[in-house]
Amino acid sequence: MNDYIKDTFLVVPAYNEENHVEKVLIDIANLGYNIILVNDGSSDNTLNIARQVQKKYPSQIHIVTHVLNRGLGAALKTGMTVALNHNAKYIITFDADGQHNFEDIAKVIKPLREKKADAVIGSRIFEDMPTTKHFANNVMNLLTHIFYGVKVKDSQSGLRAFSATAARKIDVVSAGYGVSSEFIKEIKDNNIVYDEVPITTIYTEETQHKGTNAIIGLKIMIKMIFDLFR
Amino acid sequence: MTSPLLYQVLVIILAIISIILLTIRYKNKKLTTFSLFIIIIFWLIIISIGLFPEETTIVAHFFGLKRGFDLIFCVSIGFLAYIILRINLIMNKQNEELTKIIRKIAIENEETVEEED
Repeated sequence: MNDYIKDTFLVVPAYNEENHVEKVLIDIANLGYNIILVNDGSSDNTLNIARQVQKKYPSQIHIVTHVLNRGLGAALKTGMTVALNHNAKYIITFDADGQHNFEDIAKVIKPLREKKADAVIGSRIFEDMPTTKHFANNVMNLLTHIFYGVKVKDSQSGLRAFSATAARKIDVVSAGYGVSSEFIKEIKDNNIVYDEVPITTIYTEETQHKGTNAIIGLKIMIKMIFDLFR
Repeated sequence: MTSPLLYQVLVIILAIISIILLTIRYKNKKLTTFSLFIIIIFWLIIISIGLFPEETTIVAHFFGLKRGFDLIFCVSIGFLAYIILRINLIMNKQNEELTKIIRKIAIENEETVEEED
């Protein structure tokens, strides 16, 4: 096994993901990566399923639980903190809803391993997105550009990779989906060298209902405005 | 002098009750001198508007508005917007504190499985 794999930790935030969490955990664990599963106050069977999978991969899977649902941003921060506590060299954020392709993990780590960047954003191909998501993500890219002054291809991507150095510098406070834009802001504010890598997204009926839509986009925009007064 | 209208009496009673309650809070050290001062000023303005509503028109003219009522309306909207912003910021702060506690509990209770030899 490549050395870097045992130093790589995937942070998988999960909120009521009983239908996907088993496959996602097994598929990642079979590739040899370490996993920090953050059970974000799930009320379904997510935690029990994760515990069952953990028994099969005891050295690779670590589970932390938020006793109350705190949102995507809070779960990612918890997971990244735990990964750093385990001396992770590379930290990947990976959604638990099965929308990411496992082959893309190696792609987003590559620029880190080659020391070309300390942060990598996996950019989804917008042309493959359903129309409403395409529009919402374009608006979010524009808002991220306006409010945070950074122009990226996909500001809302859930697949990101950070070196340990970058992960220590990044301090996100957004609890919900606003965290995606905040990661970009933190990358800029901390002068972290970043790269963007194209990734594929698996769209199912379920994954289409999650993530950024017009309402979430509006909430994130209001949050960005309030953040100006922080 | 004409006798005061019912709403004017009610405004004065409400203001006096509020000031008494605030003074008690101040004596119990639950309110700062500055806050007490600001709130008393606020209630004095309310009493003044209640007793001399026509005088607000003079102030309104100063700001380019025709009627005192328009001025009160504008100030109220601005005040409510400020309150919403303040409450939102306080709620965000409390939410962040709650998240920190939940994160601490989560990290301290990390679930790992001992590997069998």
